[in-house]
Amino acid sequence: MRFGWMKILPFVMATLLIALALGLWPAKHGGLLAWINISLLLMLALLVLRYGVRLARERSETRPGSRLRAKLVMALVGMLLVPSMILQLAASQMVERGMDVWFDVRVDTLLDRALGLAQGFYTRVETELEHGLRSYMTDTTLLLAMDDQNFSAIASRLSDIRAEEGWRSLQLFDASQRLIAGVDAESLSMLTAEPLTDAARSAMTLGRVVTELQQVDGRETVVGYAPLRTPQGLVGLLRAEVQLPQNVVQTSRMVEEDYKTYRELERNRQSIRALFVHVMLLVTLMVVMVAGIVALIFARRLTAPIGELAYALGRITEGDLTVSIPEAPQDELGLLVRSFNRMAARLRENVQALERAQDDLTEALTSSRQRQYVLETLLGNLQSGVVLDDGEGRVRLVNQSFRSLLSLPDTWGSGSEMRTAFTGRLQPVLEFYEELLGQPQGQLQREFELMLGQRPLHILARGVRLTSVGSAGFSGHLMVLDDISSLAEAQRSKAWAEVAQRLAHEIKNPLTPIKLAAERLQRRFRSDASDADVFDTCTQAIIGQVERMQRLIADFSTLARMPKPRMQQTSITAIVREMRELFSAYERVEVKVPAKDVRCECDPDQIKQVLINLLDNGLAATAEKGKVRLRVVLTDGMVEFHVRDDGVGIPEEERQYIFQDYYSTKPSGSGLGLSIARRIAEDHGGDLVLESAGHPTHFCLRLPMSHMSMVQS
Amino acid sequence: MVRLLLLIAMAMPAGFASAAQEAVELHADIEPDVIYCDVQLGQNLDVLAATLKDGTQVTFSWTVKVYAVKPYWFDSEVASVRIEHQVVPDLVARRWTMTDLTTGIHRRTDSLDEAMTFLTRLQHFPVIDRSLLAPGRNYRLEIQLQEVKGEIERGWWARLWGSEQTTGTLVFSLP
Repeated sequence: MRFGWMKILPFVMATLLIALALGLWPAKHGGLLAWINISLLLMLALLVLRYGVRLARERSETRPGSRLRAKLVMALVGMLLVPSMILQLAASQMVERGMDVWFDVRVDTLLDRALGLAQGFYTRVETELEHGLRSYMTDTTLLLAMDDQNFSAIASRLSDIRAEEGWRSLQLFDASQRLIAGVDAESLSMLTAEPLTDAARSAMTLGRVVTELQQVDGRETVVGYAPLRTPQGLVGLLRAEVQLPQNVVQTSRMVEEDYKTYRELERNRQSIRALFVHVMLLVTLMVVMVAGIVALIFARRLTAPIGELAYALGRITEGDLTVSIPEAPQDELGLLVRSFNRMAARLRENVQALERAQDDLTEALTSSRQRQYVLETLLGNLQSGVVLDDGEGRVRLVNQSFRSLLSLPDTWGSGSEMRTAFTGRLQPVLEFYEELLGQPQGQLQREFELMLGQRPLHILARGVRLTSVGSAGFSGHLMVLDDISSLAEAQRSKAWAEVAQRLAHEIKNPLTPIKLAAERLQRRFRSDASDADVFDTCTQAIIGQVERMQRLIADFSTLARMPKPRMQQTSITAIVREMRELFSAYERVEVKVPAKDVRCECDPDQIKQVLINLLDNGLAATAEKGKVRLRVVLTDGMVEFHVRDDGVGIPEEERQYIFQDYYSTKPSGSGLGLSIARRIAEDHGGDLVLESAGHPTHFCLRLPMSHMSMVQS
Repeated sequence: MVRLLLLIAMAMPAGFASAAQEAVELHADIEPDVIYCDVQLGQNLDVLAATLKDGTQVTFSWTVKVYAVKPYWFDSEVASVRIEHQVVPDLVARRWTMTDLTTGIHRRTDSLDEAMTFLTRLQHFPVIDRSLLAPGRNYRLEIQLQEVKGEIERGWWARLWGSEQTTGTLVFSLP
């Protein structure tokens, strides 16, 4: 059953009620009952209309139980309203038929005839009285007696007339309306008479018999007045009374009263019918309204638990488990409500248990996340490269140092394949990883070199296999890579320095006597030599090689005893100017002195040593027309010495070795110049780099302008 | 006496759906000292005659009021006079007792026309002393007829049941 007709039904009912009210609207005045009924009908229509509007406003989201309540109310009111209306119609028809019976034409005729009989009786009495009085208006006996003022004769005549006519009393008045004589059937006549009425005066004025009906103490009397006239004019007035029989009077009056009542009822026939109809309608409306209220209360009591149940179910569906329904009466609905409350309570307990478990899990997860955060932070700040795989060759965890160390892209991370990344120049890493996977001890440490960029990296690799412990553990391999190039170089330098120091100590001492001996030989025995040229060549070779060895030993000594720079505020301009003067003999050397004074915190002797080394190398590498240029550039907190030459340049394959110790392309070079120069630069917190290997060959010495910035860097 | 017919008023039924079944002819007679009025009920005399013939007593309650007309406000009442005429039929004797309930004077007649005239007509009825009215000002004379068939209910509830009412008005001013 759809709910649509339930929304239309109230409007239909309201329309019918309003139509009924308009139909009952009285044409004239109407009376209180009609207006009460109309008011009740309109009020009922208004209530139904309001109910209908409220139902219509409830769209898809109706209040729980409202539909059932509406159906119940409508059904109950409808069940009562329809029979009531049928009963009302039937009663109206019965009243109509009853009216026809009550006001039957035979009753009407009967009453008319009864009233006609009464009227005939009264008319006959009056007519007889008038006729009798008219016969005595010219009674000579009476007129003579009055003329003679013979009162006994008058009384005698009056008595005879009363006895003859059977009147109750008879009185005679003179022209001055004074009572002259009178006779009465029941008592002696009173000489004092009541004042004459208008009818008596009319009789005297008009000169004819006039009758009237007088009612005294429930008795009715027909009174007649007859003027007594002579040719001279009015001489007196005869007044006669006829007592009407009491039983006839009563009957006549009863007939009159019945006739009046009947006619009034007949005249008010429509009003009576309307009264019946309105009374019945009033009763019907009252019953309907009372029944409606009872139906509403009953429906509310019946549907309230259902509505609350539906509402509570909706709340539970939305997640509110605190909802509870008040206890219902001890019936099936109450049982349902109690069962629902128990179900909600159990559900609430289960949810609370779930929430506690969730809290525990959340706490554990938070703790785990905190540990992971600490671990990630730790790994992120480690200089060592760390990578952890999942035991199946995929990255589980890796830090930024690992990617930076091996020049891996930032996208290489969790889930990436280990083996595919370690190819090419990273082949040693892959070999280490494979070795770690096959290592039965579970631990491995190796050192290897990687050629990434221009400088070789000396890598210390350590690996360990992680085995799962319990259900919470996991297996994998942890690999830690450290760049120990500086350490290795330092160790190598230290070893070389020790060697150089030993060599210098062991070789330097004999060199000086050798050189002195060779020079003595040249001075003393040159003249004795058979071939002076050969002699000179040999001795000069000895001396030259000794000097070369001395320079080599000097360089070794310098390398071995490299002092720490004595930092002081130094004028770079002065150093450059000194370099210009120092190399002023070489026209090929172009030194550009800064226009303004540039100061820098450095060891001026060491810086000069570096610049001389660079300029010497430039001069050695250039031909006669090749230029060697020195210029100073200031950058952000740095002083840059740029040395360029137009020489043949440095082969690409040798570029990576030129700063290594004892590597030299010159036959007489010690291979320590650039190595020492770089160490000086690094000791100052700066750097010495080869910007360009040829055309031109370009070296750049960078120094921080202040020692503070060097420390910070 | 200056007889001045100012306006024939139309009857205004008090009921909602009642048509103008009865109409009142209203005339005002402005005399040197007193203002009189003549009133005649003009319609439904047959119904009234039938009612009397059926033996039902009929009472006509005439209420005559004089208002001072105000242009922009409610008219103020200057005078109010009420008179009640009653006719009680005696069907058996074929007579009608005519009673002026205001004075208590009554008389009997055997003429139905006389009884109806007694009810339906007020002739030369004094309404108000002329000294109470200002010359040149408009006044509204209003007459209200309440017709009661049967016993008169004097209680407050009588209004609830309703009775036939007829009204008529006219506007006049003193010269």
